[in-house]
Order: sequence, then structure tokens, then C-alpha cells
Amino acid sequence: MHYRIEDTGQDLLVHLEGQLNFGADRVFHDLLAELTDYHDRRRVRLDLSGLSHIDSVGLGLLYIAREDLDAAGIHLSLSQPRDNVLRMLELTEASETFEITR
Amino acid sequence: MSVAADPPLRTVPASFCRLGLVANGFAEDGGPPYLLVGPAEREAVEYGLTPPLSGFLDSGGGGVDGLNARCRATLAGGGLVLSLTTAAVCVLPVVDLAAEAIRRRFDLPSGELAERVEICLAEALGNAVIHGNLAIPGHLRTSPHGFERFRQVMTERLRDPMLADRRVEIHALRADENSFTLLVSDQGCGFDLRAQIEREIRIDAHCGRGLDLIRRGCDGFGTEEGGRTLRMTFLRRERRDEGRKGGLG
Repeated sequence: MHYRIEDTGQDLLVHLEGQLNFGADRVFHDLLAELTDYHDRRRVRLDLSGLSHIDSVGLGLLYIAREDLDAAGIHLSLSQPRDNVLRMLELTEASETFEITR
Repeated sequence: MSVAADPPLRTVPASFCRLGLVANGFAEDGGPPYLLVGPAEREAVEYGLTPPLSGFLDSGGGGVDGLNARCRATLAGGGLVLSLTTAAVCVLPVVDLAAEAIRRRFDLPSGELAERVEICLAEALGNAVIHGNLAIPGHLRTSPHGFERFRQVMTERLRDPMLADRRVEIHALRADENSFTLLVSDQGCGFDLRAQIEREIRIDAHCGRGLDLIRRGCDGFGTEEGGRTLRMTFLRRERRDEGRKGGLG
């Protein structure tokens, strides 16, 4: 997985690309560390449109990220999931926990 | 296994790969079921999963010893087989390659059913690798540091050839005109499906939701060989009721 952070001035938009699954390496860990460094931003939106696949391990990482950022006073939301990523979020009722925009 | 010295079907792109006629019976196109055998590289796996071939067998980790009775039965029944070492599953885009082959084999249109198949396959593969062949407990992945520990344990265990060479198999078989079955096998200790399913999964759980997801994604599932094989059945129709769960079969 790769990521790119875009600072919109009001919030941080993080574009995720590739696959977020059990083979995830340190990239997601590094992303979390980087996001918590933006102390003046209260909102982070993960753009999932470039994510081709996510499994339950990857989904678990999103929940970990949400808790971690929440502890730092940062609200995490998800946007533009597509195809099987959207299906995965629906099957697991992720919208009960995450704010998700299509 | 008899190996065709001069493969009659098509030219094999990689000289190190061999075509083996591994079972009596007929492949999906009516021809004999040939399996491509060789090192697990993306191009070779993709080629083995493309008609008229009926699958791919990773020659690493014991090679043709991985060609067991189930593989022969699947091939003889016109099914598709992918047999890889755990190490290969961890570096190849196996879900993408296998899901594409399954869509092609069962003529699945893009959309809801194909997405459920891909999701269930990914979960079954993840379980086979993490909890089956590498025997890594799920509770490690509950925090950022826990996930790092999980990654360390996974890397350490993949350095052990005894674990890295354990096989993961995917079998895809047409059950009847209206359904097909996917089997995902590992060489771990197995598990008790009923006990796992009866666990309550919190909606915001960080781990342990794979089987529940498979239950939601397929139309019937069960285990064989003491939990070392997960069997998932899919009906060839789109769902209208999104939240329906497949039953234990």
C-alpha cells in the first residue's frame, strides 16, 4: 500500500493506493505516526478510491487508526470506497463506526 | 504423474515450467486436465490459471509432493487448482490472480457476487496463512504496536522453512448449474468452526472477524479435515438482501 497526504487547509486528505491486507508492512504504521504529528488538524479523511482490496486485517488497521487518532483528538472518516472495498465495509457494517462518504 | 514431453496444448512461456497430465478426466473445455508446475512467479501462476490449463502447482517446498488426492479429484472433476507455499502466498497477489481465474471459469459478471467471492477468498487465504500455517494468534493485532509485533512474528516464522514451505491450496469446482464451491486448505492444526462462529464479534473489533465475514459473504460454508480445509459455496445469483448470512454446511 502507498499513501499521499494532501493538506486542504482545514483537514488532511490521505489518498490510499494498492491493497490493505494481512501483508501490510510498516507503511500504515508510518502513516499513523505522521498523522498524529499534525497537531493543528482535527480531521483526517482517508480517500479509499485508490484502494483495490481490503481484508479483515486491513479493516482492523482502520479501527486501530480510528482509536489512535481519536486519542489525539483527531476525527477519522472514510471516503469513496469502491467495488469490493465498499462491499467489505457494507458486509461488516462499518458505517456504524465510521463516517463514510461515497 | 506423467509429464508430457512435448505439451500438445500450447507453448509454455517459462522454460523451467512443465505441463503435467495429472488426472484422468476432462478440463472445463473438454480437453485433458493439465497443471502447470514450476516456481511460483506471477506470470507462471497466471498462465497456469488460464484455459486450457487447469491450475498451477508451486514446485517449491516439496514440489510435486504437493499434488495430493484432493488436487487430482478437483482436476478430474473439471475444477481449478492453485497450490502454493505459504512464502509464495505472502509475496504474490494471489487473491487478484485466483479471483480473476474464478470469475473467468464460472463466467461471473462484475458486481455483487464476484465481489463477495473475492472477499471470502481473501479472508480464507488470510486465515490459512496467519492462523493455519504460521500459527500466529489474532490477539496481537489490537494496537499499532501490536500490529508491529504481528509483523515481526510473521517475518520470523516465514524464515523457518518448515513453516514457509507449508502449502495453501485453492480449489474451485462447479457444484451444479446454479452453484460452485471454493475450498481453501492449509497444513496447520485446524480449528473448531462451530466454536469460532459462536463467538460474539464486536462491530468495531480489531481482529477475529474473518470467519464472520465469510459467513456473511457466502451462501454456505463448513470445514473438512479437522478445520484445515474451509469449504465455501456460492449460488450463482446476485443478492437483494445485503445482510444475509450463509449457514453452516
